[in-house]
Amino acid sequence: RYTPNIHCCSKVCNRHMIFTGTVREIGSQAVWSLSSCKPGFGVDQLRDDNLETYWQSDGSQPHLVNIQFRRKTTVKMLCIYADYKSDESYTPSKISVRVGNNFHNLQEIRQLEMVEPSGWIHIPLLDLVNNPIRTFMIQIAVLANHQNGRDTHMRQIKVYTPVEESSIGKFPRCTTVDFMMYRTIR
Amino acid sequence: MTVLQEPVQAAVWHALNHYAYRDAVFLAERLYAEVHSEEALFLLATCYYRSGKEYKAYHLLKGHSCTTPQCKYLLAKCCVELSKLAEGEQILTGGVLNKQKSQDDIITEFGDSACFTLALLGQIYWYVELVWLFGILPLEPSPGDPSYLQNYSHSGSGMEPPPPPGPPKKAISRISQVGTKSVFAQSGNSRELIPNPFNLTQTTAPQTSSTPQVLSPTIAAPPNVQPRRSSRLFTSASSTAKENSKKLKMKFPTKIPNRKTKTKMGKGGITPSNLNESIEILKLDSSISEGKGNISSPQFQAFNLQKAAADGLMTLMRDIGRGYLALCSYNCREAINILSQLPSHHYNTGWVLGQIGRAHFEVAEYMQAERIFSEVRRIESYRVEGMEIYSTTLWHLQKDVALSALSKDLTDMDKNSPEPWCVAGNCFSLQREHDIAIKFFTRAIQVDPSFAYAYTLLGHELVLTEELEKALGCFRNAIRLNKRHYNAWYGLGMIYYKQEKFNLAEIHFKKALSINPQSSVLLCHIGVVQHALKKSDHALETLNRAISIDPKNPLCKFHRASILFANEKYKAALQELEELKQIVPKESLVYFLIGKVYKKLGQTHLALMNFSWAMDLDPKGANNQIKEAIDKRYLPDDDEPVTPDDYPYYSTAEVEESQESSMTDADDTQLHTTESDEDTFNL
Repeated sequence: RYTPNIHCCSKVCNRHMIFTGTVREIGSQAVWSLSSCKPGFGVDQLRDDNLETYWQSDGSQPHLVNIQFRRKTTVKMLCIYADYKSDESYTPSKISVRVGNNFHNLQEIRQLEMVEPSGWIHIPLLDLVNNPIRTFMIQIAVLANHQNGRDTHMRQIKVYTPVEESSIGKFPRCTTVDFMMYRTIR
Repeated sequence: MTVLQEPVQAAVWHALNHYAYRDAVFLAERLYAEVHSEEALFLLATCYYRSGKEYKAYHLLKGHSCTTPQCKYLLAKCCVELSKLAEGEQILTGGVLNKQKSQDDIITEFGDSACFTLALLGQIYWYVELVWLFGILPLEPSPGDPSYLQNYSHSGSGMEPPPPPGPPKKAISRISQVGTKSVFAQSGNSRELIPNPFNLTQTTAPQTSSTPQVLSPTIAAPPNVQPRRSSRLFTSASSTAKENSKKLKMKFPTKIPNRKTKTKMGKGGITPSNLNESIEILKLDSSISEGKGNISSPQFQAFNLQKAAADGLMTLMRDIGRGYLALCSYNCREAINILSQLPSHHYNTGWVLGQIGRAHFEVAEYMQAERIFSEVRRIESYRVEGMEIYSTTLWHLQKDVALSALSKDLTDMDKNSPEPWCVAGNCFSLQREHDIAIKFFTRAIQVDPSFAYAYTLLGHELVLTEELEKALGCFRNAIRLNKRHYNAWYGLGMIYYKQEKFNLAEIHFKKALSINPQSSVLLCHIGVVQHALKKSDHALETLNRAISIDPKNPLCKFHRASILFANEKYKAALQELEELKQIVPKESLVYFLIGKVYKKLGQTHLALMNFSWAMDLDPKGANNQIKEAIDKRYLPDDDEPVTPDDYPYYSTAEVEESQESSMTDADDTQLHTTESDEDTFNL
């Protein structure tokens, strides 16, 4: 359950996986809500593709980010941007990821500790047979911050779903344009 | 093969008078391709301008020399519309480098249209507030044009008070400006004010005085009768011409060979009525020639020339019509043949090449289509019709640079047509920015709600973002607008396939196939669906058909190989795959499938070799099925329960590919337990 610190420092998260059509960001298909926030530092700042703006919580721990989809969605990975140098005591240090159908039957599937992160944290969400999970709801809980800070900053969160590239037949992606151009009619 | 110019011009004006701009443009394009005269150029530019596409008229006139006053005037007008004021001024007055023309020069040069020219110049100056030049203009009444003077005096009486800080000259400028506006407002049809603008090239010798009587009994028959005849046809009181044509229709029953072919067309420049009209006007000439039995020989020759020219036009129209019909019936190779046989001055035009490009596109010959479309762009950079097909071609070929250049050019040029927005949407779709692509396709629909292809493209994007219900709605909209839009039927079939409603998928694919029977991609899909419905024999038959129609489609062979594999016909599958290896040597999937076959045959070393080749060819490493297939070889004692698994795509190791390698190593130990091999072919 515990995973060491994984981060990559690029500004654009998962750029090459998006370009190769492996994953797709689906946060826009969900309804986002927060347990608390300071005015002007809320969901919009968390989802605005801007690493300068951030969510700042304004309540007691655990701070929660709730992501609710309209239908059961396959989620492969979560990415959170955290930067200890800018946020210091507001930087989360212990995060718990829970999934379920609604607020009442959430189950923790991942917990991670971060030590002075600076960049994107990739959190793969896989089930017991290493498949991406399918869920209606994801809840990200900030259980603790660096230096025991009360409130937390989170600069950006992204949710990724795997893309079935081959439109016909359950095959892996094809790699040449010669194959790809016959794949579909547009 | 000469084409008679006057009747075609008459037909174009007729169409313009009836606001049938697409017909007018089509005919004018043909006429200009045939006779590269400045008159035809002007006519084409007029058609573009009147149909609201000033930028097309501008680009057309810019690209060719304009020496006649009417061309210059129209070009200047376009410049003003497009806010290119300096250029407009330069055209009218000679500009900075040449000696600036004085007003008298302008009046002499432009003759009857001088009043409008001066007014336009005034408008330009007003925009740039060069008041001192402007002050002299309204003092010159325009010669020979009483209506302008009349409007001017009317407006003079109703003029607005001069703005306070301006000198008296500015007041005059206001008058002129108001005058200008009123002139343009009042004369809806400026042609009426210009009595005889066209230098009609008389290709034939003067005819006898008896000929005009057939046309318009009211006209007296002076000896040199052609100009009058033409101007009758040109006036907006075109009922006369129509009456005459009707009379002739009764007198000379006409055979219109390609009329039937036109009725099937949902789109395209020619409508039956328009063609009929032009045929009628031409038949006037030919029937006249037939009617006159015993005429003197120069006139006889003249009539023969006319007849030949009329025949030439008819042949041209008929060939174009046949080609277009073939294209609409998706008889694409036939269409390409027919259209390629057109004379080269017609072949090398935007419309014809656009149709040929589309024909190549519909049979998935994307390289040829791209070549042809880039030629279209070179010849007619202002053409937007057909560019949406070009953009989809570039999308298939994954040429993102060309596609984004095309998108920028077109959206800069014309924001009011759906085609540029479709191009923009395709551009972003290729970059996998599906939300932005959706936004652009929606914009295309807003600009023109009857453009079916925009709905189809939007539907495809929605499928890619997994909004299947909305996508269904879009495809249905496209079908509502055009029942023969086979791409939309295909789209519906794909959605049902994704939802595993294979029966429905097959029905919709077959419906698409009935519209476009030559599409190997469709046949391929049908084959796969039939296999999913356990009708493997049918599937193989369908795929055989696909391969015979288009041997270059590698996916057909691939799917045939996979069906053979699923039916345990390993040798046949291998043979197919070996052939495929020759055709597409760098495709990772081919080696993957070969590896699977060898694995089934127990030849593990060959299997491993092929799997590792497959992995090498897929540097992004996203194809984890391959990895799993290999890893299973490493752990032969692994007897974890087999979980039937349809999406054995990813493992943690693969996810971390952009990360430090330590993570990857750590995860390798908790290895793949899913049994994926046989199940991946559970189609």
